[in-house]
Amino acid sequence: METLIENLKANVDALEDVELTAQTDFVHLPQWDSLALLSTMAMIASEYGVNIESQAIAGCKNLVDLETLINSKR
Amino acid sequence: MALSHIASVKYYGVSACVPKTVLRVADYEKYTPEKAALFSKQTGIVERRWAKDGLIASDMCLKAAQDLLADLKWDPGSLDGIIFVSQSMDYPLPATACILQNRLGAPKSCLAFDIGMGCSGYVYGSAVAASMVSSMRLKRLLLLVGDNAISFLTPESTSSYPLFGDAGTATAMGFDEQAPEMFFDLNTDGSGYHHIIRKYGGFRHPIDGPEAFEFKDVPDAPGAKMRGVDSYVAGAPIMEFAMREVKPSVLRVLGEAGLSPEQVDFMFAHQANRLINETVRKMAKIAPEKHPYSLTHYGNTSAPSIPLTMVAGAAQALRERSVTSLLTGFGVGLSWGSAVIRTRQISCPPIAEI
Repeated sequence: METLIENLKANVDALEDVELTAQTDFVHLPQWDSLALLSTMAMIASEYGVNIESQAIAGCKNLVDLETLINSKR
Repeated sequence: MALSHIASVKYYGVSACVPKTVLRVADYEKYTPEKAALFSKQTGIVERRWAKDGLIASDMCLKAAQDLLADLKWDPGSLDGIIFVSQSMDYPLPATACILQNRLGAPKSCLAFDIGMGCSGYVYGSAVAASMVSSMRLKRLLLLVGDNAISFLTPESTSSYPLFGDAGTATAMGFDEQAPEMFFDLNTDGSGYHHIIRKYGGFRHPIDGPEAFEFKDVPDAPGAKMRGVDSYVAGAPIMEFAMREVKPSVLRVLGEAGLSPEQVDFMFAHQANRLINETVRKMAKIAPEKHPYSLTHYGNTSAPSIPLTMVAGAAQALRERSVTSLLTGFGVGLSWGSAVIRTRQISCPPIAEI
C-alpha cells in the first residue's frame, strides 16, 4: 500500500498534496477529475505493466480496492 | 490485414504553417491560475495557435505548400497530385483539394481529392499518397494535412477546449526507384465512433433546428457544456483505446520493416496529450529523446500533428541526416495506424506564420 500511495503522489499531480491512506475514497476527492483518472491509468500502466479500465477505477471505494484491482491483473 | 510495404516512393520534404495568434492556457478565462498550471503540467500543453478571423486549414496548407515547393525548387506547374487530409474542409462540396489545385497553380493534369480523417489522418494520407505515387508513377505529389481543431469545440467545453490548436502542413513525395520501401499498418474500430464525435452538421443530424445549438452538460465532465455542433472527446475511453491498440500496431509495422525499437531514430506520434503520449511511448520502448513533442507550443492539432511535430521537433536532423522515422496516429474513428519511413536529407523549411 505504501508503494501505491508513493506512486500516486509522484505521478498523479492532482493528488500530490493530498493526504492518502488505504481507506481514502480517492474518486470522490474534490481534486479528482478526468485528468487525474488518466494520470492514474498511465501510472498503473507504466509502474505495474497492466491496463486497468476507467470504469473499474471509478468503481473503487478506496485505495485497498485499487490495489486489489491492480494485483488481480498482474 | 492492412499491413503493407510500398516501394519506389521518395519522401522529399515536409513543412508546416501555424496562425500568428497565440492562446495561452494560463489566459483561459474558465480556469483559475492553479487549474491552468495543473492542466499544463498534466497535458504538457502550455499554449496553442488560433486561426481567427476566417483563416482556415486550407489557407495554412497553401502557405506550407508554397514554402515547400520554393525550398524544393518545384514549379507548381509540375505537380501530378494533391491530396487534402482534414476534417475542416472549405465547403461540404466541392472537395477542398480541387480549390487548392487552382490556388497553387497546379496544372489540370493534376489529380486532386480529399480524405476526411483526423488523428490517424497523416498515416492514412501518407499510405494513400505513397500507393498512388508507386502504382501511377507520379513524379510530384503534395499531401496537404491541416485542421481548425479549436473551432471543433466551444470555450464552454472546459474539459477539452484548451487541448486543441490549429495548423496546416505539406508533404512532398514522388516516384523514385532508388527510394527505400515505406511500411504501413492501418486499422479501424468503428464500434467506438461515439467516443470522439461532432454530431451535428452531417446528414445524420442536419443543422436544421435549435437542438444543434442548445448547450448541454458534457458527460463525465462536471461544469463543462457543449452544443450539438461541437465535438465531444471522451478522455478515459480514448486513453484505454490508445493503451490497447497503439503498441501492437507499432510492433507490427516495425516487424514488417525488420526493425527493433532501438533502431528507430524518431517516433513521431499524434500529439494527443502528454499523459497518453508518454504511456504509448513507454509501451513502445522508445527513448524519451526520440519522441519529440509539438503539443507544448501548438497543442493537439488533430490530423497535422505528426508532420507539425516533425518540423517543430526534428527539422535539423531531417535536413542534415538519414533518418528512420516511426509514425503513429490514433483517435477519431476510432482509427489508428503506424508507418516506418526512411528519409535522407529532406527539405524541411522553418514553420511559417500567417
